[in-house]
Amino acid sequence: MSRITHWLRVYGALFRASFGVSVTYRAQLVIWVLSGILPLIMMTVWITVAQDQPGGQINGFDQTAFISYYLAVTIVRRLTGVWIIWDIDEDIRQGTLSAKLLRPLHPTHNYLTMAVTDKPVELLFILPPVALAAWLTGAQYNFSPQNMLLFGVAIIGAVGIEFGVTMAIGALAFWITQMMSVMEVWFFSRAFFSGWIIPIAMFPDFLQDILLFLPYRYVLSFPIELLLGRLNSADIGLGFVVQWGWVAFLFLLFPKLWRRGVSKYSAVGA
Amino acid sequence: MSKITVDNLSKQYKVHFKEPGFKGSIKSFFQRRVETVNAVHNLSFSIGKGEMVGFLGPNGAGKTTTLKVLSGLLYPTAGRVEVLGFTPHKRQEAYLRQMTLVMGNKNQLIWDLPASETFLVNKAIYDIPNTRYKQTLAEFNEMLNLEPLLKKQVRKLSLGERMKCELAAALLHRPQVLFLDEPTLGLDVTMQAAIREFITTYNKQYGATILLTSHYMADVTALTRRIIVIDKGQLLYDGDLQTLVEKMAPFKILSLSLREGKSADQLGAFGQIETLSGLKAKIRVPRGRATAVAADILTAVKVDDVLIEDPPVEDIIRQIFSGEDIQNGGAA
Repeated sequence: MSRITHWLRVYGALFRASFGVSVTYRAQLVIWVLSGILPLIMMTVWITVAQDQPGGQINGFDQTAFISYYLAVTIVRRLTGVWIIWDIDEDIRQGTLSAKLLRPLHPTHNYLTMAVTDKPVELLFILPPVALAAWLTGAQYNFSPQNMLLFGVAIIGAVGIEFGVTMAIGALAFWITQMMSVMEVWFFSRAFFSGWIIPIAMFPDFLQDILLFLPYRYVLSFPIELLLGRLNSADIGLGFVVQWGWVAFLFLLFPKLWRRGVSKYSAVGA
Repeated sequence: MSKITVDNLSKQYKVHFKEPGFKGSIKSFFQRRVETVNAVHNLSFSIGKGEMVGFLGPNGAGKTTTLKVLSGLLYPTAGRVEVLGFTPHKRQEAYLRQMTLVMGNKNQLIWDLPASETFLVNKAIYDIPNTRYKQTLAEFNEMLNLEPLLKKQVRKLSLGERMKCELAAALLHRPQVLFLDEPTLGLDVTMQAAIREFITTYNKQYGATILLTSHYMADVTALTRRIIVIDKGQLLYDGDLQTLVEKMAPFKILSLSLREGKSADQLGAFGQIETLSGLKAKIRVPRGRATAVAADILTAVKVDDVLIEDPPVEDIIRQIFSGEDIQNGGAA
């Protein structure tokens, strides 16, 4: 019990501090949120293309489906994105990690807090305009309680994958100075394969089959597909197995990498 | 029972070398030249509970490396290190809760927030009970006058103000062992004195064991009786500061305020003249004969004042680093 209160207090304090830092950079926060409108530009492109198709549809997406999809993208992207790689890079290469290692608290907790602190504030900024747009355009979602519960679990899984990938790639900074270029590869491929720019349903079938088992779909597209009510129970079951399989794999992998990395850090000079 | 034991500690680094310029970059891309550097070599010492020890050496002597090994950031290449019964590099929670490392050139406070936020985070991490937190903070506040600083963003604080907050944050959990690496680096004289006083008080109040490095001799002479001197990773001296002074400088300096001008020849009879300008003179005399010579001067020369002083510790340390033999008192 006292362990639990200890952790509650630690996370409470970390969140408080992390939130304080975010508020300091509120301009940056607004810019981040505004940068999320790229998917809406893609939306207009797809709607134009769809209108020229027979039946006004591409791969089962009509105008309403595209609108619903891309509006959801703007929200889910903010909810699941983890942008702490620069902090990890700085900590390891500038040596600020040292101070964190000498506290009786693993730095992972720090990073996890930093990764999710901004979410509520960002949501506060972005949810009202998107909700208004959804209402005006007649976007359609499945808001049943059961589906919202599944959506919630899928969001947590998505954050888990994002955080796990970031921590695993971040640990590479212990060995290579250009860790950020590896991260760029993740960022770039994720933009493409997670459904951020193009819905996965628009890809050729073989690619869709492959993406079913890679992590990309599960950080963005999967929760959105749930929200749109486009999945049957078999799809949903498989989706959760793959998503949480990746979460489990990454959460086994990154602590191992960090243990090795930190011991190397302790060998060559912190 | 010693709290810190260092037994034949060695620490080696591998360092990559790169020649300057584009050509050098290409070359090092294909063929990396790696050299092993002995940062610390066969170093041994031990420090008892409540002792405050000064750790001296020129830049690159291995002081910071040793402190990092002791605090647990680095693991030794060879040898054994024990602090409070723990092996530091394992970084067991029980150990981390009882020690602290403060580096004068590194920042541990949350940069964008007031220091009080870092204090609260540390309070949670170290499980500091409310009453004890308030009491400790009040004590620190009294000694360091933190009150006006606590609500300012850390980035807006001056170097000295920030150092005060750094120390407070690092000591809130009342660690038993303190490793202080250049805690007064870059501070003005008043601020140095304040930090020094704080360290002394903490040492007395909590019986903490403290190992500190500093480039300012005033820190060392004010804080510690015992010093450990290393250079090129090896132990040069471990013992009483005063004894070192006597060994290294088997002479004293007589500072004279003359009533009338004297020539170098006249004063040279009493000892070796260090400086002579106008009515001020400094004469170097053998340590054992300092008082006798002073008496001679008083009777033979018209003087206002004679001061018998030890040579500045700075000079002595410089002598050691320049390679003069300690045992034989090379400066004789």
